[in-house]
Amino acid sequence: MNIGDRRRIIGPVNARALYFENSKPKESIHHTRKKNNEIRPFFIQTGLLTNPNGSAYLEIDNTLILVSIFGPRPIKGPFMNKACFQVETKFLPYVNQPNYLSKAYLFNTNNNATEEDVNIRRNLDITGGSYSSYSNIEQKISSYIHSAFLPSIILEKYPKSTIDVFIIVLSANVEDNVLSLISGISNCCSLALVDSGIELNDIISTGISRILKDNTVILDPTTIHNKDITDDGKYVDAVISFMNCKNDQIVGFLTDGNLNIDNSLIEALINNSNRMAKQIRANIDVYLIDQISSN
Amino acid sequence: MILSPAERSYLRDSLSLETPIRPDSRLVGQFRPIEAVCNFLPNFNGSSRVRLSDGNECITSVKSSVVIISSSSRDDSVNLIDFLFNIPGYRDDSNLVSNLTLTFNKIFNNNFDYSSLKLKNFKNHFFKLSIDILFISNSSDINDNYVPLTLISFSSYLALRSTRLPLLINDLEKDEEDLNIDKIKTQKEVELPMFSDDWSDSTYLFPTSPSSSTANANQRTPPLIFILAVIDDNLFVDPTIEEQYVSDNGLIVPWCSGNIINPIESTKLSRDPNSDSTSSSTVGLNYNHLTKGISLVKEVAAKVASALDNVVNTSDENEFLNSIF
Repeated sequence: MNIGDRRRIIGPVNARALYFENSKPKESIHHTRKKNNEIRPFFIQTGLLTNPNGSAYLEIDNTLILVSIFGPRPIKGPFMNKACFQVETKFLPYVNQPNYLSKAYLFNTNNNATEEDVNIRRNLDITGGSYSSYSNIEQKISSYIHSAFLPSIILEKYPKSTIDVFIIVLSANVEDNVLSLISGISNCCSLALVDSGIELNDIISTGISRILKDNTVILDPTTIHNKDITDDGKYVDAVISFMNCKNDQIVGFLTDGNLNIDNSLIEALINNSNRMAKQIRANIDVYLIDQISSN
Repeated sequence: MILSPAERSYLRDSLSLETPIRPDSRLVGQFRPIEAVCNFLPNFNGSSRVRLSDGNECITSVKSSVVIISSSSRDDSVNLIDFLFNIPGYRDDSNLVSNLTLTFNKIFNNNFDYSSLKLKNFKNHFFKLSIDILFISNSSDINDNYVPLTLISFSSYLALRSTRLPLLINDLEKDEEDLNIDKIKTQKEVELPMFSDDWSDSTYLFPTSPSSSTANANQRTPPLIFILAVIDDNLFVDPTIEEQYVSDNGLIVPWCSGNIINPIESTKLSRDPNSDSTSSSTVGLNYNHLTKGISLVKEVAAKVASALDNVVNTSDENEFLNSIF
């Protein structure tokens, strides 16, 4: 009788432990330096999902966003002469959510933030510390997208129905600017809406620009690129959504930063964000035209 | 509440005139009268109640506690002001409550002089302010789009302005025995802060007397948040719910000590799925709206702040009359 250890499951004698080639996570591919007036290259693809009526996928650096549109689908209840429009944003559970509240997120790229720090920071932003409901950031993004896209969708065409937008953030940098995430999400939503075939007034394009105290303009700012430029610590960011074919009307507007706002600053922010929005719009248009011609 | 098509178009037309006519004959930059008291809750460091004639009411309380923040994490992940909203009928994780919490936390923490919350002679001890806001509305009009921001902002301004912090006693001892400073310094590292029991010794978080305000001119006041309704080319402060329903857009503009601060935000005030589809919903903002809004807030904000300061000053004189207990 073999009297061995009965409490544990010991494998065969000649078993060898599993060998992992590289247990350390690979260094994430970080942003390459870009010029101030350049926007980062991004990858877009529509129609990846078959279940929703429309979907789009967008990739910028480490940020991956997937948007799916369900609708117009019929709803029960009292008669409504317009469609009901809803937006839900969700970060996947393992994605570290960027901190919108932090005073100095811009300067905290000194790489000594430990995993623990990140987790603490993340917990601070979650409502009531529970993961079951939407976090404040998720709610914020949802309301921005909702108010920005409301003017674009022709809701009167779809009575008694609902249009639901589900935004999933598959990956994001913690150090990343919340506003730059919003701009990515918003552009991805535009594509998804086109893919779904819902009637639109215009495709919404979103640009983001940063202005420093010495009036330096940076298009498409992220945290990391411009660390050394913003030593004096004063800056203002603005993410602005436009309807470019409707006289560049502004449908979404959100600023962040610590510079006081005046009229000249607003003008510069609008002009520069519009410049970026138009570049993105051009890219989106080319992509959509290519798609039609390839079909 | 839904306006009939006729009411809607009448209201919209009169508000989009070149010289707009508001239903309650207010000027573009005029607020509705409010009834406000400060420091009426005895158990809190500061409190306020603001009531509006339409029955909405906002009660704010400020409670302080001492927290220790290690110097490495300062400025980053720690927020010394913590807002908590309580709106009956709304869950804490609803979009409305969640957005209000985020907006207020963001604006107040980013524009607050944390040095005024630091305990003297203590390296890592800070006051943390927990601000609880109860918004009571006796109508069912409040929804995700009808944001009672102006009222809440007034109330939190008053509550912070009337906030008093207890006197630190450790501080006094130091003056008496400053012979061996080094010894005290090492003691202070481990010593707990002690506060005076006498509430009359307490000091204001924001000094109110005119002499002290000139002394530190860069002392910031609490931020104020204004919501503007955009109708055609006109902007209106403190829009009533009817004005919000017919508005194209809304603008949220925060203000602090004479400056317009971030985040300025556009919003929709008029989502009403059952209303007639007007062209209004498809209109965006333009540059003129934003600059007009900023100038309008700059124009009225200082007056609002000084009016609210008056409330704080007069509340002091008859502090005990204000108490509800």
